[in-house]
Amino acid sequence: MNVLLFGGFLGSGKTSIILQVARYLVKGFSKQQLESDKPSLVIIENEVGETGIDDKILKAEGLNVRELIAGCICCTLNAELTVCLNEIQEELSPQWVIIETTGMAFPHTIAETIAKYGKGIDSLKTIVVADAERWDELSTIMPDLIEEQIVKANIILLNKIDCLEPEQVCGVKESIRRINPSALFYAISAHDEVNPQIWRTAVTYCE
Amino acid sequence: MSEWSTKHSGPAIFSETQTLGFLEKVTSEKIQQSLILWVKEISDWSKDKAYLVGHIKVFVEGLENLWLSSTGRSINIKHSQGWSEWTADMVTLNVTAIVFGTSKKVLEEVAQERLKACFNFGTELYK
Ligand SMILES: Nc1nc2c(ncn2[C@@H]2O[C@H](COP(=O)(O)OP(=O)(O)O)[C@@H](O)[C@H]2O)c(=O)[nH]1
Ligand SMILES: [Mg+2]
Repeated sequence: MNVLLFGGFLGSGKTSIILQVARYLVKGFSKQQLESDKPSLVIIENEVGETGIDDKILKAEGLNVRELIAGCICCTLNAELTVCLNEIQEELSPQWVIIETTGMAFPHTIAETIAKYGKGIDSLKTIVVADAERWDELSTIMPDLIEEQIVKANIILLNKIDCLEPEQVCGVKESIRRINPSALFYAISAHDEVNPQIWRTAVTYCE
Repeated sequence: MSEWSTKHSGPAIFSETQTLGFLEKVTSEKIQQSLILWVKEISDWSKDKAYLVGHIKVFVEGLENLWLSSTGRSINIKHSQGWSEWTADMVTLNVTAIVFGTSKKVLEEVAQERLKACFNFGTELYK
C-alpha cells in the first residue's frame, strides 16, 4: 500500500489537486484492477465540522472515499486516522491510499504516527499544498502554522500561480525554499490540467 | 496584528446540512444566485470585521449538484451536467464556513440569519 498524505492550509487546493492525482492514478490501473470489486485507490477525507463537503465532490467523481469528520479543528484525529488506514489495509489492501488532512493539521506529525503504527505500508510521502494567492497574507498572520506544515514535506506544490505574476511566484518560491530546501518543488495551477509529468514524478518518487 | 492571530486560537466553524422545501418550483439559477450571495455576505462581513476566512464551501445535493468554494476572495463554481436546466421543489444544502477571529456563536448567528435572508422566497426548512 502506497500512501500519499496531503496537507496544506484551508482552501489551498488540496481537494482540487487530489482529483487530478486520482484521475492520473486510475488511468494507470490495469483492466483487472478496474474490474475488481476491491478498489485500487481509496481516499480518506479528514474534514472539520458536522458536514463534509469535499468528500461529496470526490464521491461524485466515482472515487472510493472514507470520511473522518473532526468536530474540532485542532483535533487532527491522529489515532482514528491510523485505525481507519489499518482497516482499509485489512479489508481492501489497495495499491494507493490518498489522505487529505484538515487545513489546520501538521502533516508530518500525522506521517510519524502512520509510519509508526500503520500496517502494510510500502511507501509514505507527504505532499503539502501552499496557496500562492494567499501566501503573503497567511505567512504574515500565521507564520508558525504555515512553516510547520511545509518544513518536513517531501513534495511541495505551490498552487494557484494563475493568481500571481511570474516575478511574484519566484518570490514565494524563494521563501518556501528557505523553509524547506530539500523537498521536490512544483509551481502549479490546479484550475488547469496539470502536466501529468509532475504527477508521474511525484508518484514514482513515492513508490 | 490582532490578538487572535498571535495567540493562534482556533477558528469558528459553522457547518450544517439543511433540507429546504419550496412552495413553488425554483430554478437552479435562483438557488445558485442565493448561495453566491450568501458566500459573498459572509466574506464581506469577515472583511469588515478584519477576520480571516479559512474557507467557505457549499455543496447542493439534489437530482443535480452545485459546488461553491471561496477563501473570501473570488467564488469558484462547479456543477453537474444538468444543473442549469434543473428546477427544484426541494434541495439539501451542505454549508461550511470557517472564520478566524470570531466565536462559534456569533458566526452561527450571522451565517444562519444571512442564509435565511438569501432564501426569502417561499422556503420551508425541513431539518
Ligand atoms: N485561482 C485558483 N483557484 C484555485 C486553484 N486551485 C483551487 N482553487 C480554488 O481554491 C478553493 C479551495 O480549493 P479546494 O481544492 O477545495 O482546497 P482545499 O480546501 O485545500 O481542499 C476553491 O475555490 C478552488 O476552486 C488554482 O489553481 N487557481
Ligand atoms: Mg479539501
